[in-house]
Amino acid sequence: MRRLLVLHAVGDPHGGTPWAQAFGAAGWAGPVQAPDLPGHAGREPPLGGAYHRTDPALVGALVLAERHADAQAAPAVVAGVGPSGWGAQLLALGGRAAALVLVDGIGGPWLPAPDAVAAEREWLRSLADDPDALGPAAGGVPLDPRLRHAVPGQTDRGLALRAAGAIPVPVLVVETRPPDQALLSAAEVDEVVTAFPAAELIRLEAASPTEVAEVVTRWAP
Amino acid sequence: MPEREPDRAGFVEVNRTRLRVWEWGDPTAPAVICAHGAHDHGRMWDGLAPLVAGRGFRVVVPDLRGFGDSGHNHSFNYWAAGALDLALLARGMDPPIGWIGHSYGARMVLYVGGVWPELARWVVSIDGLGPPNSVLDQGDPAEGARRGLDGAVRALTGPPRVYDSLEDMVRRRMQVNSRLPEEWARHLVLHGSVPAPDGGGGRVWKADPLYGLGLPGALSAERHNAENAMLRCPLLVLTGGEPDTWGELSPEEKEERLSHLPTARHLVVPGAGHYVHIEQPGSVMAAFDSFLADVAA
Repeated sequence: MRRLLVLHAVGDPHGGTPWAQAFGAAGWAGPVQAPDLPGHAGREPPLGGAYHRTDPALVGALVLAERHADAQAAPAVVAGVGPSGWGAQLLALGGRAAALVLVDGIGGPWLPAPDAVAAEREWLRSLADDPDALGPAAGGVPLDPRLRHAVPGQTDRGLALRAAGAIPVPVLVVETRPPDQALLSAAEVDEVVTAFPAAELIRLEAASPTEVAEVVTRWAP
Repeated sequence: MPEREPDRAGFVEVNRTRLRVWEWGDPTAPAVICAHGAHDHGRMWDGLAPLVAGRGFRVVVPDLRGFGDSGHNHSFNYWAAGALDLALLARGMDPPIGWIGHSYGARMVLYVGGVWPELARWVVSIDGLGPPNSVLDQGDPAEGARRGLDGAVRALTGPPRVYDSLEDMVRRRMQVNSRLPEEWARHLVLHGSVPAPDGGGGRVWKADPLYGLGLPGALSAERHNAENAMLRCPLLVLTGGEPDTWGELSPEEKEERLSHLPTARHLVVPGAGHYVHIEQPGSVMAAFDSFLADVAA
């Protein structure tokens, strides 16, 4: 019986519930945990009210640490969706995953450092000018207004390749975005997939969570 | 010696956290914000802040997010959130204003000045050119992820690290910062720690245990230089002339970092290590006076 931890996309107001339901419907043979990330689906924002691309890894590490007390539990399959793919990769890098699933979760777009810094500059300036994003952090709303500004993602191609090369577990990469919405070109995705020691790429354009869950359930080692 | 207790102390709510703020000088005078380094807190400025206030400034010194009496984070977002804290603080002070930073705080005020040029009239950076390239380039991502996640889980679920006594903390601090005078180490420990919550007579640091853990991807030399290169206002860079902990940049690395700071005037202060302003406050103020005279001209 394999545990599954799903980190839903940062910015998805529905939180983890659609993924928990999708894997339930797909017949995942084991416990499924799909926590609502802080600031999503009514959950309180994190202490301090700020977000970072690595935060899903922190949430996941805490969830997995709680489950660690269950001596019968097998190592988890960790899935990351969209921007939370980086958090899932960090969990795999940190030895906390038996297998890794990335749903549109490789990262990107790849930016040179000056362009990444310029993008973060504009993000910070937009936050500073939005009273809703700066006000007291409140729970009970589908999405923290601060997250309307998104969270700068993992845009470092070199880091993505180094990280992929250091992840020793089986990896399934699922790409659902149509080409005109993708953050990376097909060639850029292929480059990262090839950098993983053991990875498989499946393209499921515009697939629903249920369709993705069925594919992942059939693949899971 | 710490020169003078703050003239005023309080808290401000900003950017979803609470910052402890210390102040010296005439509250109606032009403002200067001072940002302390990592592992320190606002009372690190007890020596220099009264001297700057004596030049006719309102000196505002926050405990940065995660340090001293200020709020903690359940996120690794220290850099951007801390910069936003400072920017919002400055907006209420009739900007553009002056900025002084030490070490991590110096890097942060450079960043604030680059992101919000309308907030910075001038910047003074005290040994804030950043860590060596060998630190910035991070190494093995798997080792970094394991260390960061293990540390974070321990910090958020386990008890705080308890030290035997204030004296124990002073001794350990002086082992790390061997050039720091004992009276200053004691001052920093006194204001940076509290009695341990277990009531056993030990002490714990106030600082957020999540700070400094981080995960792969936060830093690179290229990114560091790109952030610095945004600054356009006058900049005084002071570095210590003596080898010291947290001041390990080679001369070549210093030159390379300075090449990305086109407005910098660089001065090496003899007889000082990383804590230039604590070891040589007279030299720092002389450089400050000269710099301000040039900025005014």
